Amino acid sequence: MKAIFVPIYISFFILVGCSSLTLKPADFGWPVESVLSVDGQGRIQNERYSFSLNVKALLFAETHDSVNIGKVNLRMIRDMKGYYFITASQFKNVYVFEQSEGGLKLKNRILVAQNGLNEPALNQRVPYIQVVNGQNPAVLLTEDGVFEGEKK
Amino acid sequence: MKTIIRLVTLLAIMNIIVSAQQKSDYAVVQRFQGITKSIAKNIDQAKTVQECAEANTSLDAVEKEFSGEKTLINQANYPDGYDKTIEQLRGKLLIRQRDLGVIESQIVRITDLEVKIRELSDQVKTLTTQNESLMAEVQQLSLNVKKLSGDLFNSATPIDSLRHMVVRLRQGLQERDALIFALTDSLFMQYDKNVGDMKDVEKQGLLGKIDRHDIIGNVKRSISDNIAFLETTQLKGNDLVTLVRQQKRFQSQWIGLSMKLTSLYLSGKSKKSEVGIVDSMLATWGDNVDGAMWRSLNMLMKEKGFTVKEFKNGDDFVASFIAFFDEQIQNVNKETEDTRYKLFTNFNESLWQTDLNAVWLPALIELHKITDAQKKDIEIKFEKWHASVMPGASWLTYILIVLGVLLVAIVGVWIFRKGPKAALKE
Repeated sequence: MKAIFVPIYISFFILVGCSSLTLKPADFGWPVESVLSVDGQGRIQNERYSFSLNVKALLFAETHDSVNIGKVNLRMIRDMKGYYFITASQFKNVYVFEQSEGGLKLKNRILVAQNGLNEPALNQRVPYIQVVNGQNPAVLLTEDGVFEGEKK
Repeated sequence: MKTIIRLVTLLAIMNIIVSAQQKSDYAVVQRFQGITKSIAKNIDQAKTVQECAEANTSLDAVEKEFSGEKTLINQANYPDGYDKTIEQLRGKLLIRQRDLGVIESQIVRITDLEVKIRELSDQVKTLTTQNESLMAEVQQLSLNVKKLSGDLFNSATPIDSLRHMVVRLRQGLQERDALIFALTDSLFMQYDKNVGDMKDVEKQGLLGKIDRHDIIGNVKRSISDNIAFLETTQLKGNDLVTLVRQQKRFQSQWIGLSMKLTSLYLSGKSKKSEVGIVDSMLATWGDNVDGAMWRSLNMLMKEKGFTVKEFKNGDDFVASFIAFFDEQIQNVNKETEDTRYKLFTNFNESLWQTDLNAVWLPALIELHKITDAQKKDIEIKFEKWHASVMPGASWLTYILIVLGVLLVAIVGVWIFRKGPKAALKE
């Protein structure tokens, strides 16, 4: 009888020891977007949340121009799940990133304005991110795309 | 002074940004941060009780404006949030007031006045916008009516809406005029002393407020609006008298204000010249409104069919009327008694009782265009004319006279016949 239970006990403790430790629930959301200017090297720096990031690749992806990047003001917000939403004036898309080792990895690219955004702003509207574009109707986003339900 | 101008400019720019991005949380937070920073700066630089009161009112206004965004600002305004920021500013202001030796009752009284000033200033802005659109509508409607009927305000003009609009516009202009002077009074009341007794720092503060609320600009605007109103509407009679009264009232209020402003603007030549510009604008308004009044009176005489020599001022008016009455009394045209009587009755009923004696003569005295003695002269002449005309005999009178004579004859014959018969019986 003992011979049967000993391996079971051992396997149970091995399984518990190897499973990942998960801390839940979490809220990574920023209450308000950060407006960050891109410097000559294509870097942005956020003092409040203490990080810096090179966004050259993002600017090139959107504008196909990695030279004239000095005057761009990126608008960035993090939703409660921890995804980063980034856009800027004249952008057609909102880019959704997730954290990866030493950088951000593109999760999704959401088309929000065929002719480019005029006066964009990103608002935290838990569980969504709201994209405001001047006088146009606001759009709600999740990391997967535009939320098609009730629009705020 | 420069700080205040910068603050106002900053607030205006922020207002534009917020109105363009109504729903951006970031813009709300930025605006809150910008305003609170400016208030903090103003508190640090405050040198008078009035400046402290102004900062106090600004803080109240911030609390009022952002009360709905408290949660957002508490989360987003790093590191102090909403509550702590306001609390810190209140504390800062208290310390500043203590440093300046400001008494609490003083600050309460001046803060109340500051609140009133801001309310009045907002009302002036609202009324300006309202009056602007009303004026545009009145101008457009007047053009349309003129095209249709040729004359704007004769009794046959069927446009009630235009009349209604003109009345509203006139009330709006009067209300705005009154508000500007009420606003100015409140500004001076905050300092509670004559301009001569003010310290330089107080004078500068007051001048800053006068500039910020654009008192001179508002006065100028009132005058040009009133002139435009006068030209657009072509009012008559009592309406016109009301306008003349309004101009006189405005003028006397401006005289009081301009004296204070002149002593405030002692050092600034450009500002002083502004006072002179208002004086000349006011004179133009006065001339226009007087001109409109005399034109309207001349027109009234013509419309009623009486030929009076044209007049352009009070003395001319009296001389023309006395000449007209003399002509009638002396019967220069050798008219029959009947015609003269009819002319007098017509004048009395359609002009003297309805317009001249009822409206214009009292108004001209009130507006100092004629004197009491001149009015009396006109009245005496009118009475003389009255006495000089006798009702003419009509055909009805002749019939009555003939009937009377016949009646007397019949009664006489009857008595004569009755007399001999009675004597025979006895």
